[in-house]
This record gives sequence, structure tokens and C-alpha cells, in this order.
Amino acid sequence: MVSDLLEYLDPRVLSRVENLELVAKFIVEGFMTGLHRSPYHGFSVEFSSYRKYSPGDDLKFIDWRVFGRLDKHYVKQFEETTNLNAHLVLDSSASMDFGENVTKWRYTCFIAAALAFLMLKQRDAVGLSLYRDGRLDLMQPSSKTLRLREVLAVLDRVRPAGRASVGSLLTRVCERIRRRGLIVLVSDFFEDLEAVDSALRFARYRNHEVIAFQVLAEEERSFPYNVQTNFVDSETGDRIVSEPRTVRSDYLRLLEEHNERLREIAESCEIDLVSLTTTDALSEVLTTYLSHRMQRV
Amino acid sequence: MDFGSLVLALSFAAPAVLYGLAALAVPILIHLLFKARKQTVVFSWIHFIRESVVRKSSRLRFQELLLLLLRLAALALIVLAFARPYVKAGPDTPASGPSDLVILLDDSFSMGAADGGRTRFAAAVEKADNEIKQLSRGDRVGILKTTPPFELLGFSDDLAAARGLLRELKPSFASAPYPPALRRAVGLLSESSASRRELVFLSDFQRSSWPGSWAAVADFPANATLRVAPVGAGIVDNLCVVDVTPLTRLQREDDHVRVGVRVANFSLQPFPDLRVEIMADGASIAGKRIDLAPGDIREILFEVPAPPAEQVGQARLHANDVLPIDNVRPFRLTPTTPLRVLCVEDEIADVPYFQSTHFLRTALNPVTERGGRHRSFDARVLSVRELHADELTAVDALVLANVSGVTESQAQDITRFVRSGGGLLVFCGDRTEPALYDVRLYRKGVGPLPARIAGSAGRARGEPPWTLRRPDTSHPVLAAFSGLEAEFARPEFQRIATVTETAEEASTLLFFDDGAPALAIRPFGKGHSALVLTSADTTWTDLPKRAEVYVPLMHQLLRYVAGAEQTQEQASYHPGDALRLPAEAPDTGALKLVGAEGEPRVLSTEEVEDGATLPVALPGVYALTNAEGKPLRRYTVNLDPEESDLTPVVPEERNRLERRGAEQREEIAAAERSLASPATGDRRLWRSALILALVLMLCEVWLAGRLGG
Repeated sequence: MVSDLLEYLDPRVLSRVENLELVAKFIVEGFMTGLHRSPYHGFSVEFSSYRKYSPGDDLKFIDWRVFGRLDKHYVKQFEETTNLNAHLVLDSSASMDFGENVTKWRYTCFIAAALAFLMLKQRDAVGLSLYRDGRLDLMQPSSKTLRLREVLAVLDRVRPAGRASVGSLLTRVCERIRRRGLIVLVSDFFEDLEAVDSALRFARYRNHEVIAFQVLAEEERSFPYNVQTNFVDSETGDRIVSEPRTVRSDYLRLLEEHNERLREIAESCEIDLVSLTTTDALSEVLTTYLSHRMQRV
Repeated sequence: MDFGSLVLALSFAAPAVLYGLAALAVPILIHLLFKARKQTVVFSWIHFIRESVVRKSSRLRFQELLLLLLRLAALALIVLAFARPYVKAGPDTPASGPSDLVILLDDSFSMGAADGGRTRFAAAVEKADNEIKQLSRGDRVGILKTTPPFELLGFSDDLAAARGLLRELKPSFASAPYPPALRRAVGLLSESSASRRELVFLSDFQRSSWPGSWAAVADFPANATLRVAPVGAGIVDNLCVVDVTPLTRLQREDDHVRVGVRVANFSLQPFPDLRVEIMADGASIAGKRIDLAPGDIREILFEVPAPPAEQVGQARLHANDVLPIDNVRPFRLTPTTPLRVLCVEDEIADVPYFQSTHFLRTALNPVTERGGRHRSFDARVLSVRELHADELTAVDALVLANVSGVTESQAQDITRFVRSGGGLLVFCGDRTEPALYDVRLYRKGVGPLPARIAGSAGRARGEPPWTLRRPDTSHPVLAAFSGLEAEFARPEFQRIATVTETAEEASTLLFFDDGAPALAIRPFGKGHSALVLTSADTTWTDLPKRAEVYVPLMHQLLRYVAGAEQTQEQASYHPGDALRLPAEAPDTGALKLVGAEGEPRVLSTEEVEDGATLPVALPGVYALTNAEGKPLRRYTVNLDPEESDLTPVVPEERNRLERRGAEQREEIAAAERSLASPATGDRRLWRSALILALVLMLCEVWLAGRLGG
């Protein structure tokens, strides 16, 4: 049963499910089921104080270290963390509409849906920002029950188009959101990284926490073409004819240099960067998020 | 041997296979037209690909070019291997060492043409001089000309002397067909054992002298080269007097003789209003104006007064062209003495029409268009009873027409007459007694009669008459009927004489349609006799009424038996020919030849006795005189009109001659290779080419795999 649920973390399996809400549920519950005695248990509320044990209290909240020192039973007092504002900033440029089985955009949608589901389940406020039809579509964070449906509705409607401008998008989002919070940035980062660098530094300047997911298709990582190919740029329409066998090594090297540069930027900006492939299980996404979340507890 | 020398020495056993190199176009076309199929992929971001391509493109283009070159080289090597390459060894190799050069210089009359400011011969000599100048010390040169005796200089390494010899050369007036000279040149070249042998043929390459040239180099040496060096400007303006025909046999009673002058225009443009003149003793005696179209050859007829004695005249064409000398042609006007013919009958009828020789005598002296009579024959009639030896001394030919027979003494007189050079012509008829002819004139073949008369045969009314078979016109008597043989089918014969045997020396010239002889002739002593197996009049045949056959046949027959045809002297000679002396030339030590060559040549006894020929080099009139300076005979030596036609052969023909030399060389080389042992380097060469091609193909496969092509 558990393995069945874990299977739902495979994006290739999830891609067969049209309903994004259902997908999010599969991802999160499958992930949680796999955790069992996870140390991440109870992270959705923040510790506030101790109080004396009284009958009826759950034994799991007894602080045994205090009992050891004082020989008295205290239980930890928690407060719900309702002040976390999470912003899902998604790259919806045309380059995201690429991938053999699961496109990068579809994978991005899985990430966004799963995180939104998880965050809202923990009563975090979730916002969504992306470029749609050439203009910024910004949804301020909210923890209301319908927010998930709103987020998923937007994701359903958006079709990747236009040129990538994650730097610009992030900068404008940072300018518009009122409270500091957690920014989850999902993109392939196929653009000028200097603009991305500036935007991330700006986000950090505004005291936002940032988690960046770089999503790449398997074809982009392996460049599996053999015969002479006329490559058409998905964003600009530019064309170039190439013998893939002769340029593969250079291509992979350039891609690696690009990713390395992205990692340097992330490190210098003190942000978490997770590089994913559309074939990767989505557990990595949630693990990263929760790990980051735990650091705040 | 270095690489350059190896390439120069490279040759092929099957050069035709080299046409397969055209297949090299195939990979090029494939490379240009059918590049690898492309797929189209919409890629997320082509930035990295573009960067990679920019870095790789120059290398890629180089590799593609290298791939194409590999394919071309492999294909070319395969073709070369099948062409069986070999390296010419030994004398074939154009290695260092002495070389022999044979220069064949056209010195025919046409080379005197001055087109382009100087004569063709001068241009050829200059080219020959340049060829010699290019030789090195130790090289040898041989020089030949196209006119006999061909060879001017055998192989000599004294190049300065050879150049001096060239400078002294002048064109001849003779015509020169190229084949004999080419054969001599090829022969001289074959004597050489030098490592490099070459024949250079300098000429204007006249079309008229060309036939047979290709075959003349059939034995061209295998390791020599043949080069043609044309001079002259091709077809230029030239006209000439081709021939002058004094029609002396048709001399008439009105003392005029007809002269036919043929003129030709060998140029490509018309020449209007040209004047053609007949000159005698330096004065014009007749002239006409004509227009000559390009390529036209016309005969212009003149009637000039018959000279009382032999006279030398000139036909002159007034035209401005490159060879003025051939516009003048000398000729001889020689009055002829009529042949004296004695016609003998049994009884001479009072009415001429009923005389047996009436038709014959009429045929011998036909009426001319102007009403005059030709004086070629002087015929008279006589009864057989009046025939004596004295009568025979004053005649050239005796005709017996329907004579029953002759007496024994008459037969002896006739026999002596024929044996001493007289002519005898016998017609048969109703009166002919075969037995008398048999015993007195045939005498089992030892008498002058060509055949033994057996009797006569006739066709009844209603039966088809005899006709004559198609004659063989190769005999001088019938040569005039060449092309007119069908005329002989018309005469009909109701009665003919038959023969049972012919003399050993006799030959039958005409046959009746049943195969029976109709005309037999034989030489007898110095004379000739002829037997006609029908009548001379119309009693047996209508032949005498068939003028188109009868008149020329009787003329030719009587001239033949009287010996006039045999003594006909040659009308004209060409420079380089040998003059024929008269058989009756007296006092051999005292004969002189005076003519265009200036100083009289005194003829020795040996010269006259050894064939009696006198070679002459210059055109003009020559006179043979006795010790007193009295002319015995005149000769006209004229330019060969073939040389006046300056039209050259087409360049393809010249090139073909060069190729012929090369092909011959290749054929011999191929034959030698086929006899060579399998271990020869020639065979290894094509194997090496194939192995190299295989290696290149493997490289191609590897590189193509790298390029994904």
C-alpha cells in the first residue's frame, strides 16, 4: 500500500492524472505516509512555552529532558504558525513547455500544487506569481480554504509562452508583496543569470527566504540527438542546424558551466537551490521544503 | 626517380577506363545536393547549441571537406587501378640523356605561297630552326623533305651545320604526297636508340597531299612522339591553269585547232572578269573573259590557227593571288600527219554507197560542225587486184573489206608490211573465202591474221539477231568507251563470221551475245592486226549506221593497229618527273637537253641507254636537240595543279595523326606489358592503387561515423 502511494510521487505516473488537486494530494500523502516516524512531525505549529502536565494531555508532548532535570512533568506549549507567507513564483516562459514525457511546465505545476497543498494543510498562507499573457499575475498569500482551488485553477489555465524573465518576475513580486515571507522560485533558469542574481539579492534584501527549484528536462541534460537536426528556439524562433554528435560535449559542458554559475549565485545569496529533472520523484521537492521549514522552527 | 618524373613517366594500359573519372562528379553532387536528412526539434533554449556550433563549425566544415576528398580520392584510385597504370621504363622514361629529333619539312610547290607576308616555306624553316635551337649538346637531328629523295641530313649532332643546311633550303616545284616522306621519316626515327625520339612534321598540310598519311605512321616507334606543326593561313586566294588540251586529233581542213584551257578557283571568294589568254611566240593569239565562282573549275575552248610546225604556247590566267606562277601553263601545238589508210575491196562498185568500205571511209573523215572535214585519216580505196607491195610502202594501215582472198605474193607482202610496223584490219563478208585466209594469212597462227576463219552463220527472218556483249574497256582500243558500254548493246548482226581457233598472241576484245568472238587483235612483229567478224558495210549488220559506236571504234582500231596509240608521247610532265627520250634518238653522244634549268645538259651514252630518262626539277619548256642544235622534241613540264589547291586538312585530321603516333605507342606498350611477368612493377602499381583506395575508404567510414553522416 505504501509502495503504491510512493508510486504516485513519480511524475510520469502523476502526469496521467488530469486533476491537479488530486495530484497534490497524492504527492503529499504519499510522501507523508513514507515518513512514518518522521522527525518533521508537529512542525506546523511553533513552540511558545511550557506548562504543567494535566491529565488528558498527550504524552508525546511531555518534555522528558525537563522531567529529568526537575522531576516534574511539563508539556510543550505550541502556537499555530499562521504568519508564514509563502509565494510560489513560477517561470511560465515558452522554454518551460519542453520535455518528452512530462514537460517542465507540468512538473512545475506538480511542485506548485504539492507545496500549496502542504502549506495550506499547515495553515500557511500561499500566494502565486507568474507572467500570464505578458503581464504579471500576482495572487497575494492567503491561507483560506479556497486558496488551493484558486491556485490550481490558475495553473490549469496557464500555457507557457513568451521569453524567460525570472529576474524581472522575482523583482516585481518582491516589490509587490507586503510582508516578508518564503519565496519558492521554480524555473529552468535558461536566461541571463546576472539578472537572476540581481533579483535574488533584491529578494534577500527584502528579507525574503528563497527556495529555488531548477527544473530541466531529461533531453536537456543528456542531449540525446544523433542525426543532423534543425533546432528551433522555443522562445525566439531562431533556428540553427547542427550535427548533435559533434556539439554534444560542448553543449553539456556549457550547460554545466551555466548550472555551476547558478549554484554560485545561490550560495552567495544564501538560498536553497534544488536542481531537478522532470523524471525525478517529487519527494525531493517536499524534503527540501520541509528541511528548510524545520530550520525556522 | 622523383615524384615529378614518376608522374611524367606514368602511362596506362587501358586509358579508355580513365573516362570513368567522370564518376567523381557523383560524390560531389551527392555532397552538394543530398546532404544528410535533417530533423526539426523545437528546443527550449538553443543558446548552448549555438555556442557549440560556432566553436565546432570550422572544424566540422574541414572534416566534411576531408570526407569528400577521401571519397574522391578513393574513387579516383579505383578508376586509375582499373586503367592499369604503369611506369614507362628504360627508353620510355623521359630521363636525361641524348635525344634524337627528326624534322620532316614540306618543300612542295605549295609551300611557296606567300600568305602572311612571307612564304610558308620560310615560316616552316624558322620553326625547324627553333626546334633545333632547343636541342642540347649531344642531341642529334635528322632532316627530311617531302619530295624525293627525301633525306637531306641523317642523324647528326652538328646542330650548327643542320641549321646552316636549313637556311639554304628552297621550296621545290614538285608535288609531294605526304605518305612516302612520312614512311621515310618513321624509318629514320626507328633507327634511333636514343632515350627520347621525336618527329616534327612541318607543313601546310594540303588536303590533296594528305591521303594515306595516317596509314604511313602505322609503324611509328613505340617510345617516340609525333608532333605536327602547321604553317600557312589555311584557305587563301589562289587560282591556276589546271590543264591545256590541244585537240590536235581534230585538226581540220580550215587550218584551225581547238585548244581547251581548264582554269580553277581554289579560294572562297568569286573572281569576276578574269582574262584568259593563249600566247604563242610571246604574242597573244586568243583571249576570253570569264567569271570564276569559288571552287569553280571551268574549261574554256579556244580556236587558234594550226601551226605549220610544232609550236610552244602558253595559257595565261590574269589574276592576283598567292601563287602567281601556277597562272601560266605552257603547252605544245603539234601538227599531226593524217594516218594513211588503204582500203581494199574485191570489186569497187561504181556507186560509192555500195562499196564495202564506203561507211568506213566516211567514218574516218567525218564532216565537222562547220562543214569541214577532219584530217586525222587519209583513206583511199583500191581493188584487190591492184594491191602490190609498192602500194603498201606509202600507207600506215591496210583494210581488207569483204575481200574473197589474196594471192600468195600479196599475202607475203601483207605479212612483211605488218611485221615491219604496219597495221592490218580485216572485215568479213559474203565474198570472204575462209580457206584462202586460213592458208595465206592465218597459217596456223604464224601469219598476221589473229584467228582462223571457219565460215559464216546467219539468223533466219524472225530470229533475234546477234548483239554485242558489254565490252571490257581496259584495252586502249576500247578505253574511250568507258562509261558508255551500254552503246554496244544497240548494233544488231544478222550474219557473222565464225572462227575455230585464235593465234597464241591474239586477244578477243569483243564478243557476240552467244560468246562467239566479234573482234580479235594480235601483235605481229612491229605491227598489229585485227579481225572483225562481220561486214564493214550494212550487208550483215547495222553497226556502220550506229555512228556513236562505229566512228570512234574504227578510229581507235585503226590508230591502234597502225601503231599511233603506242607512239603517243606523254603530253606533259611535272617537276620531279623523268623525261622519256624518243626511242629513235640518234647519235647518243651528241644529244643535249635545253630548257628552264639554264645550262644545256649533254646526255651521255649511258644516260640514254639506261632507260632513257631525264629527271627535271623546274617547270617550263625543254627541248631535246641534236649536235647541230636542231630540236628533235620539245617537252612541257608543268606544275601539278593538285599543289595549287591550298585547302588544308581539317585540324582534327592533323591531330588524329598525332594521336595515331600515341595510340601506336600505347598499343605496343600494352602488348609488351601483356607479355611481362607477373612480378613486374607495372602490375604492382595497380595493386598499390587498390590497396591505397581501400585504406582511404576505411578512413572515410571512420570519419563519416564521427560526423554522423
